[in-house]
Amino acid sequence: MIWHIARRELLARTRSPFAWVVAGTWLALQGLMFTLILGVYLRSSREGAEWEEEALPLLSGLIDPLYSAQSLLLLLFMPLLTMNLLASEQRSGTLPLLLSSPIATWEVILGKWLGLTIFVSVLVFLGGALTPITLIVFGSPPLAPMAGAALGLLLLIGVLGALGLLASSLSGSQLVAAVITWTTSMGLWLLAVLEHGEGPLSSLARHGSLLIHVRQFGRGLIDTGDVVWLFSFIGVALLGAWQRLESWRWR
Amino acid sequence: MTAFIARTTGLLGALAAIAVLVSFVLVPELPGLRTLALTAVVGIGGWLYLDWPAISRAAAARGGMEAARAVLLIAVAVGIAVVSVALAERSQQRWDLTPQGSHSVTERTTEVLASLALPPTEVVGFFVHGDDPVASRHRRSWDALAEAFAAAGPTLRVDTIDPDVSVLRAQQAGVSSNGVVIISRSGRSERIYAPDEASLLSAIVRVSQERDRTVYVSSGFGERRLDEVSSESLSELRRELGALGLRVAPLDIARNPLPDDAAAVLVVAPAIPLSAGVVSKLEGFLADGGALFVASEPQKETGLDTLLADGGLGLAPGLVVDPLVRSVTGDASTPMIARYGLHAAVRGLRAPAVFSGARAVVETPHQPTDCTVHRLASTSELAWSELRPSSEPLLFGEGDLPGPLSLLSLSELHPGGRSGGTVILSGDADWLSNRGLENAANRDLAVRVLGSLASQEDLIALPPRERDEGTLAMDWLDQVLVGVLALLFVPGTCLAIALTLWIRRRGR
Amino acid sequence: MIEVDALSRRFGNLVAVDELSFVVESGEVMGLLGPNGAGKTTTLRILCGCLGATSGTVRIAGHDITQASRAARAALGYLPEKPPIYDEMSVEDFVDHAARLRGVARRDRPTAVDRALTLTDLSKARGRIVGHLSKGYRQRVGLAQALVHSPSVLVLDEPTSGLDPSQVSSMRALIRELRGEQTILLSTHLLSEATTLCDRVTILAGGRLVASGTESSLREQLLGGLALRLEIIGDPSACAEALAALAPVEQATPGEGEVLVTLCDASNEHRALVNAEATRFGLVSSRSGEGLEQVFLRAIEGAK
Repeated sequence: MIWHIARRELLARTRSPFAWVVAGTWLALQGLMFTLILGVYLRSSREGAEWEEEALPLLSGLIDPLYSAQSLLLLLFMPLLTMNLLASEQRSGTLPLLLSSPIATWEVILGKWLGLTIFVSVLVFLGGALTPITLIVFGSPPLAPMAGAALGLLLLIGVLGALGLLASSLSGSQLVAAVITWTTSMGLWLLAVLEHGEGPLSSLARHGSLLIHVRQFGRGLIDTGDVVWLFSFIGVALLGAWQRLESWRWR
Repeated sequence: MTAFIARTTGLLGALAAIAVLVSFVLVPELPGLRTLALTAVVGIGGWLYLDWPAISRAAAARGGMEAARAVLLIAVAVGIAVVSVALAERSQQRWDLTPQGSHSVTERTTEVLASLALPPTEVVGFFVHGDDPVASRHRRSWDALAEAFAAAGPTLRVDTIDPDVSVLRAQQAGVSSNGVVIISRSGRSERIYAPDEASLLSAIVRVSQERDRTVYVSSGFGERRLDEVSSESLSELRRELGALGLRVAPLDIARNPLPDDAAAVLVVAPAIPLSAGVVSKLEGFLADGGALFVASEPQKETGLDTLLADGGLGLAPGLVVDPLVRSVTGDASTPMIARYGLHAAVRGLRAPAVFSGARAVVETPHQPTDCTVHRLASTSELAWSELRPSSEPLLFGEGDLPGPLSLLSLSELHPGGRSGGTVILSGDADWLSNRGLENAANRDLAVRVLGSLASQEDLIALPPRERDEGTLAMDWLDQVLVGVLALLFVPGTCLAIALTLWIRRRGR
Repeated sequence: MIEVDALSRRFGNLVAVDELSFVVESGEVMGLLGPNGAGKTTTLRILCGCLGATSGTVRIAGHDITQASRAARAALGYLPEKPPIYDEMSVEDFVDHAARLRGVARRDRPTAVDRALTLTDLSKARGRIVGHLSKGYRQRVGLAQALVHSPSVLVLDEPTSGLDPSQVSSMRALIRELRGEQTILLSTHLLSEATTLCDRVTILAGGRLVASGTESSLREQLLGGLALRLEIIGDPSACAEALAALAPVEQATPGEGEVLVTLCDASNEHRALVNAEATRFGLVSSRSGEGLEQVFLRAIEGAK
C-alpha cells in the first residue's frame, strides 16, 4: 500500500505541468550554478598552474562547492513541492477517501514521503547528471567522495521532504505550509553561524544545525553522528505528521 | 481566565522540560539547567492543579486519550532520537572517502598520539571564518585536521578560535595573524603556521618531549648581529622566534662545530665571503638533513655560490626595481611581494612584504635533479632585475631580467632520492632587520619562513599520501557545450514536457 | 449490518451528536433526515472512520469501527457530500486508484473498475480528465469509487445535492438499482427523496434521534393518528357534514373523492367510530392524513 500511495504521488507530480515548470526553473538555476562554479574552478586552476605544480583540488575546489549550491537549491525549492502534500488533500476533499479506506495513517504518510523523495531524487540526480558526466568525460574525478556527496543530497531530500510533510499537515493552506517549511529549514541551516562562538548557544548550534550535519558529505567524510541525526530528524518529522493526520479525526 | 493562565503555565513548563532534556544530553554545561528544570516542574504542576477538571474530563474522553497517546509517543521518539544522536556523536565512527585521506590521520600519527602520556596536550588553532575564500579554505583544512587529530589523540584537547570573534583570547595568546596553532603542555608552548599533519604532529611531539630547539645565527664574517639594539640588527627577529619556542644564539662556525640541536642555521648578510671550512661544514650540515637560511646583500658575496647552486639556486646580477612601488613611494628599489607561493612555509600569507635593495633569486640554468625548488615570494610582472639601477629614466633594457621575480626561494634537497636538507635563499637581508620587521608583513613572513625551516629537522616522516585528488581539463569550447546543455537543454526539456502536458490536458 | 449504539461526538462545548442509537438491517435503505446542523454528516463521518466518536460504539458488518477499524472500513464505501476525487486523473485511473486503496486484488481490479464504471454509466467517459467533468458526472465518479470494491455497506452523504433535476433523477435511479445488493445509509434534507428511496427514515435534530421508522409508522409515532384521510365513493361534502357532527371529530374537510378528518385524540374507538360513519358514504380506505412534511416539522418542533 505504501508503494501504491508513493506511486500515485509520483505520477501526480509527473503529470502536473506546474511540477515540471518548477523542475525546469530549478534545473536552470542548477545549471547556472554549475556553469559558474566550473568556470571559476577552471580559471583558478589555470592561474594556479602558473605558480605551483599541483592542480587545484577537485574535491574542495569543485565538488564541494557544487554540493553546497545544490543543497541551497533544495532548501529553496523543496517547500514548493511539499506544500500541497496534505494540504491539497484537505482542500480538494480527497482526505475522506484516505481516511475511510482500509489503510493505516502511517502508510499514507510514508507513501507520500516516499513518492516525493523519489520524484525529487530523480530530478536532482537525472537532471544533475551533467555534473558527474562532465567530470568523468573531461577528467578523472574521485568517485568515492562523489558517492558520499550523492548520499548527503539524498538524506537532505529526505529531511526536507519529511519537514515539508509535517508542515503540510499543520496547515490547510499551501502557502502557510510552504512558509513554515522555508522558515524552519532556513532557521536550522543558518543556526550554523553561531557554531564558531563559545558558550552553550554555540554548542546547541553545533548539535542542532542542519548545515553542520550535511556539509561533511560534500567533503568526502561520512560521520555516523551526521547520519543518525538526519535519520532521526526524518523519523521524528514523519512521526509528527502521522500523529497530526491521526488527530484530524478528532477535529 | 484561570484556564488561560493554567494552559500558558503548562506550555511554558512543557517547553522548559524539552529544553532540559535536550540540554542534559547535548549541552550538559548549560547554565541555568536547574532553573529550567524547576520551571518545568512548576509550570506543568501549576497547569495540572489549576485546570484539573478540564484535564480529567478531556483525559477520560476518547479524544483526550488519543491526544495523550500522541504526545507520549512523540516525546518518546524525540527522546530516542536525542539519545541516539548523542551516542553516535560520541562513538566518532567515520568513513573518510577522500583518496588522500584528508579527514583522517595516518597510522603512524595514530600510534604516536596514542603513545603520548598525560597531562593532556592543548592544541589551539586561531583561524578566521569569514567571507574570504582563501581564509575559508584554510579554515576548512584546519577543521578537518583538528577533527582527525582529536579523534586519534586520546590525550589531546583540540580547540579552534576565531580571532575576529574571540578578540580577547587572541590578544591574550599574543596572536595577531591568521593561521596560527599554539601547542602547549606543562608550561611549554610552541606555535606553528599553516599546519599540516606532519608539522602538527612534530610540534606536539616536541612539546611533549620538552626538548629545546636552537636556531644558530652565523657570526665571524661581519654578519648582522643578534644582540645589538640598532635598526640593522636582528634582535627583534630573535624575540619573534623566541615566541615560537626557538632559542636563537650566535655561532662562530669557523671555530665551532655545528651542534646537534641545531634546528636551523642562518647566514645573514656576511660582509666577506665565508671561508671554505665554513662552507664545508654547512655542506655537511645540509647533507645530514639540516636547514640553512641565507640572506645576501646586493654588493656582497657570501661564498656560498657553489652550495646554493647544488640546490638549484642562485642570485641574478643587478637590483630588482618595481615601478609599481615607485609610483607610490618614489623609490623603485624597494620591491613589493605581489604573490606568495603555495608551499606550506608561506601558505595563507596575504599582506605584501617589502624588500629593500634586493637581488632576484633565480633557478640555476642547469637544474640539479636531486632538489626541488619552490618560489616562496615573488614580485609582480612589472618588476624587473635592472643592471643599471641608477640610470634615469629607469627602463627595461638589454641584459635586464623581466618579472615576475622571486625574492625568496626554497630548495628541498633529496640526494639519491632520500630526504635531505633544506635551503632558503633571499636576495636581501634588510627585511629581517629591526627596521625591516617594523613592517608587519615582513615580520609575518620572517616568522613563518624561519619557523617552518626550524621545524624541518624534527619533522616526523609520515608515509606519503596519495596526492591525486582528481583532475579536470576542459577548453573553452568544452565549457560552452556544457553550459548550453546545463542552461538550455535540460531545463528546456522540462518546460517542453510541461507544455505538452498542459496541451494534452486541455484536449481532454 | 450497521449498528450504532449511544454514539456521541463533542466539538468543545458543542454536542454535535448526542447518544444516538439506530440499526440498519442488511439490504435495507435507511435515510438520515434532518435540517442543517442536525448531525447527519458528523454521524456519517464517524461511521466511515473519518471522525472519531467521543463515546459510543459503531459496528459495520459486525466490525467495531475503533477496535477493528481496518475490517470495518474495508466493508464500506463512502461518498461524502463533496466527492473525493483527484482532478488531474482520468476517470478510469481514479477508479482504479480507489480500487487499490480499497484493497481490491490486482487480478480482480480491471473487472471491478469496469463494473463500477458500467453501474454509474461512466464507461464512455473513462478516458476523460475528472477535473473537466460536470457536477453530475463528478458525483457519479464519486459513487463509482464508493462501489468499486463491492462493499456490503454504502454510505452516501447528500448524494443528490447540487444536481439538476435530470441528474437527480439519474442518481436516484442508480440508488434504486443498488438496493437489495447493498445496505445503504444515505443522508438527505429532502423529504421527498427520503420517502422515495428509503425503506426507513431516521430523523435527527440537534444531534439527537427524534424518530425512526417507516413513513407510516412515523406518522403513527408522531401524529398518533390524529388526522385521518378517508377515501370515499360518495359525496364528500355530505360525508364531511356527517362526520363533523360526531363528538370526537374536531374538524372534517371535504376534498376530491376524500375527506380529511381531525380527531381530538388518537384512540382506536374514535377512529373506529369515524370509519363506521364513513362507511355509509362508501369508504374505500382510511389512513393517516398528514404527509411526511408535517411529520418532519412536528418532529423538529418537538425536539426543540
